[in-house]
Amino acid sequence: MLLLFCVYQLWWTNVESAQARDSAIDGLTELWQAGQGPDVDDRAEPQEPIPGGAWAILRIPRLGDGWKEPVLEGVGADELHKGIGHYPESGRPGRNGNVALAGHRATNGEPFRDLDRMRPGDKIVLETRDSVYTYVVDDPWRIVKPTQVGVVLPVPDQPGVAPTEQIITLTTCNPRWSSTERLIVHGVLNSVRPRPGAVATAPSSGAPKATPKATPEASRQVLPGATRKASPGATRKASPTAVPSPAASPALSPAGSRGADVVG
Amino acid sequence: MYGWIWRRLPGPLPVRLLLSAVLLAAAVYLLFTVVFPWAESALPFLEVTVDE
Repeated sequence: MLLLFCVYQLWWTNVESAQARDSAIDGLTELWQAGQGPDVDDRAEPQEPIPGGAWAILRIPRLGDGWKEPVLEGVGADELHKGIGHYPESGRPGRNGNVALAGHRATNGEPFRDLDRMRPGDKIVLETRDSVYTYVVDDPWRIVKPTQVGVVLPVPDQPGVAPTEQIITLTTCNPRWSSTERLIVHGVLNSVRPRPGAVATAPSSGAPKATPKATPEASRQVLPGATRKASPGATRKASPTAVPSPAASPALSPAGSRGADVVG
Repeated sequence: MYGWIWRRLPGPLPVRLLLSAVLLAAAVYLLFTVVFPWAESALPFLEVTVDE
């Protein structure tokens, strides 16, 4: 019985997760081709909650050339079984704040198995319906306690501080087969460009969208301040032409007041 | 337990073998779809989020 459980855990969960991952990516790609799917980088205020299910595709070259995972809303067992989970109270791409993601390191597809191989300078590419966000790892990964929710705050470890830049945070368990610690990787937004093949959709909010037609000038926008140590001025330019005003003004971003109650 | 089941299976040897295989498959199916997914939630290495 115990042996059978090991077979289930070490082999079958990976088989199932691979199927669930592929079908989530295929489903999302089909929606995108039809010009549908969650509009997560919608700049309208107030923000609509992201519906359940997949809303982005994550690529991390360091974890493998073909490494590709769906990002789903929520960090429950169901979401993490299918791919990478997004902390619902954390930020979202296209706005100042912290896009916080969690993934399994052992079994259930183990997408973050090799997360300890990430190095400063590595790219983290988040593809949404309309845009491709490229983040660059700025510091070596670090180990924190499982209760250290500060890592997913809009400005990590600084409660109540309004974010002035767009970052991404990846969390997983550490050591690999244990739960005593968490392994954390942070990245800073480096560039935003329209997603190739993105279908221009009618804006629901009246706000301009980052579609290829709408903002050709944003077609290849590399931001100057790739590291967190860069001056605030440099990173403020990071709030790009492709990402209109609300993202650039922390006062409008409710992210600062949220995140303190992050629940896994 | 297995002897007890084996003695209660009806029919000649081939039928008993077939019935055993069916029972085994059903047991494994139940384990993989209900019991193991439930038991899995207690595994420490599936805790990957920061949480208060």
